[in-house]
Amino acid sequence: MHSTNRAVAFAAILLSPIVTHAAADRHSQDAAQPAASYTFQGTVRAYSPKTGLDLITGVGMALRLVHVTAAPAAHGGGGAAASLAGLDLKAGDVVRVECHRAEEGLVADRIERVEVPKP
Amino acid sequence: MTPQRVAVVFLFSLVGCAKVVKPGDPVPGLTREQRDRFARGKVVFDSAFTPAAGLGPLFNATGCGECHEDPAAGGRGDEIEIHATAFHAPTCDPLVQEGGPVVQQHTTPALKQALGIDSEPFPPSATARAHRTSPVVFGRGLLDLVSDSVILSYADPDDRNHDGIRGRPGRSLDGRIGRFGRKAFVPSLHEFNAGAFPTETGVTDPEQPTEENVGGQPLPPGVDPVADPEITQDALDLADDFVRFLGAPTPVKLGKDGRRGRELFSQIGCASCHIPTLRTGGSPVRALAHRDFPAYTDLLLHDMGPDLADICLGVATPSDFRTEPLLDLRDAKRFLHDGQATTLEQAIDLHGGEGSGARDRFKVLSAADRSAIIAFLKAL
Repeated sequence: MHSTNRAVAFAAILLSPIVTHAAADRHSQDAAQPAASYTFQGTVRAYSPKTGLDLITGVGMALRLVHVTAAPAAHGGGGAAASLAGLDLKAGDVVRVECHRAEEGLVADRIERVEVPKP
Repeated sequence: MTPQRVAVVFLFSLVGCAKVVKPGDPVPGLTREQRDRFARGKVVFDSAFTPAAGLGPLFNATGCGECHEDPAAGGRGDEIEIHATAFHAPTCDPLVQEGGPVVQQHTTPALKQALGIDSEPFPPSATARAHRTSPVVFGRGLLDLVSDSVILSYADPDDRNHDGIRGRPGRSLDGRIGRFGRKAFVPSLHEFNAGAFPTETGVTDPEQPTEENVGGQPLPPGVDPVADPEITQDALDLADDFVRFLGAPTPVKLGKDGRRGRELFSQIGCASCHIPTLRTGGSPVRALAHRDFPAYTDLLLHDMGPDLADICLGVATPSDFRTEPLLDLRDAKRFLHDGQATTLEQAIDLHGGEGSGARDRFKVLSAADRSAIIAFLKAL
């Protein structure tokens, strides 16, 4: 038992710099990476070019509301806000939204309407 | 004995040996590993969760098996759920901002202490309330594998054949063809099961790791101490496999009456929507792939008339319902989506809208012929 404990302790001493280094590496990678992007596909509940989009999404019957805004800097200009402003969306439309998380919440990068066959 | 006779005897013996699937049995032909997952998944399905294990804070049942239990795990239950949505034609609002379409009937002690409520508040913006029984989930893995093209082949939204039946597919929020739920709102069995844990038991899982709010308000601090997700992907996948592998019960052997009833069932038009046999598409699970099975549904939405109308959901209007698969009727004590019928005759009588033609033809049959149809249905 004593020898096993000694072996575990020895291995821990040997490995600790590697583990620490790996963790530090991961931290620096996280800092360098762009914000994670998310894609949602669901039904529009409410939409306004100024306030953004309320999207109903979910799994099975477990439905959740996702609020996506336009980037403030882009209002009235190009980029994400332009893609929001240029859309004629109404409740019940099916859309696919690509967005990223920012301090103010989810910010739309791209919104496209999904055509659902009738009926 | 000639080779031909030997072949005939062999074929007859194969038919005679065809495995009878009883309610709660797995589909025949699973591998040993799949049977093992069926058994382990049943343990998850039958688990009763506690608040310390993730139950709630809002819930309808402590586990899947509480509502799907009769006559075996995966069967039906006597619980009645309450659902609510708002219909502002042509749009259906599932009221996610007020807690979603399922109005949970129980709260954990911690939530009750924090808010003083025994159940989720009924959404104030709802335009309708619906009652929902817990159906059998037998054969759902087979229904899951019926392809979109097969479902669409039965659709006739413009009633081009002038039979008064206008089936159309349900759709999910993201536009896919729905198969599951009384309004054909959910496209796949896995999604239905992954959504059922948080919706019915309040147990979050990796595919829906967010708890539902309470009437649109965030959960009070401290009422949900278990970190999300509250079950692992492994546990979810096992429960999913248990449901997926549940077979469609083999209809009981019919007597003369039953055989006559089966013919009449088709002749009077019931089988126009309750399609007796469906075929699955491809699947990595050989026992489920390319199988004909007793389904008695077209998985389409039909307008069942104003008397049955309750809530909308997705593209389904209040009077639209997906054709109910007629599985394990032999054990059923209540019928229709809300359990309001206590006999099969009542259930048929309550068919309106697109079902009214078959209903009317049933009603003018002789008493013996009506009994024959009931005998047939009770063998399912």
